[in-house]
Amino acid sequence: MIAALAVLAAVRASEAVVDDDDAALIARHRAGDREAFATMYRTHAAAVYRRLSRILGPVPERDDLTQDVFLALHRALPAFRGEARLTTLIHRIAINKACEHLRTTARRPATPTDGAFFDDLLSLAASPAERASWREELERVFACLARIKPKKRVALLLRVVDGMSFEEIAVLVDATPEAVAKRVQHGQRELDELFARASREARMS
Amino acid sequence: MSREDVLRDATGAAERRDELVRVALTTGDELDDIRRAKIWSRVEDRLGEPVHAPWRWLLAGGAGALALAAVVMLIAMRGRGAADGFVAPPDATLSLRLGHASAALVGPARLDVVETGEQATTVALRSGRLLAEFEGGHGRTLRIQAPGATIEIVGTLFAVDVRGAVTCVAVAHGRVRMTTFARVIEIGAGRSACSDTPIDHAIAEDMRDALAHHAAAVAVASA
Repeated sequence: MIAALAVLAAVRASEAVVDDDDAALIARHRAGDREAFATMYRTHAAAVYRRLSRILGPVPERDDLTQDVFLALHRALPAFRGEARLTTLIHRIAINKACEHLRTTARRPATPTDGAFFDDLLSLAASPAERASWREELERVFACLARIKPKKRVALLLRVVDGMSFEEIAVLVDATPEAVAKRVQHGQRELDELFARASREARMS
Repeated sequence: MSREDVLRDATGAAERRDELVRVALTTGDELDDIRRAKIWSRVEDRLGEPVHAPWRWLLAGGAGALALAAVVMLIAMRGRGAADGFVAPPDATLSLRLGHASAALVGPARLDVVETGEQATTVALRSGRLLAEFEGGHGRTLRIQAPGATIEIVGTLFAVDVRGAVTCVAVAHGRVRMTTFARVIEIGAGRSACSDTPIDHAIAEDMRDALAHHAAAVAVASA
């Protein structure tokens, strides 16, 4: 057991410069330092979970998928030539895992089935009628997103939710910025149409 | 500005739709310490052997004031058949996220995670002190198993102290139900009770201060 000291500010600062240390981490991992991979996990686990959540929604499989991302990373590291940053590699793996999951679950929406998710989302100050209305809209969002093909969905969500540029998205999805722009544009149009249709159906029922 | 305010203020269908998507996909996207430890356990198992034994984490614990800005160390212990757990050595404070509770484990202390889920989180405090502020919410429960007592919390600021076979609970805000072998006792705000005595009493000064410091630390950490 080795005692280690850290303060909160230092831990947060170290996360900001972690990319500079990643090359050293990978080298240590390849040299057989077991702690190096644990450090990679500790540094990137939250970001991976967040990435998966922001593409898939609150699906229960996020824990398993996070695990799968790091297992895939462990397999990929021996052949990794440093052509991208470690963060980029990890997020590419996460996005691939998310796409695989979307393909296997097809059109099943990631709508939360328990009230706790909506309790988190909507403040207690909202009236019951407002809460019911927002809940319906949010369920509609999940249902519409489930109908968009994975590549378009990923590009659209990285743009809309994370505010990434086409160039940044292109790096993560291994496409050109022009291809990403088309996916985002088509994804937005499709989401608009699906959303409008779902809203009309809801008003008529 | 609350999320409902943002949605209300969104003008135009496209802006509102985008805001709905953002809200829907960013809620619940945080990975808490328990989940992170559990996932790591499974990664280790799948890799075939522990990456490092014992497992070392660096977590910083702090309070808003300078005094708490020091040092924590987490050692995840995985004994035979044991749940995931946390150990805080002497003179160290471990900051944890237990489901919907922001907690501090004051060493020397040991806490095992028994069960986590959307509705209930159950932990076992084997020794030491646990300070926690539980956000609660509809249907949510934090359950703490301790020697001689099971404590259930719904939305409150409280402390649980284990010393040998005796468990004491102090409540700053809210209410806590403590079930012992002999009875069930409801402990209200500003009161404290122990598993080996029949009645509750006012919180001791040092415990009140500790809870106030913890609440301040949680407020700063979440700012």
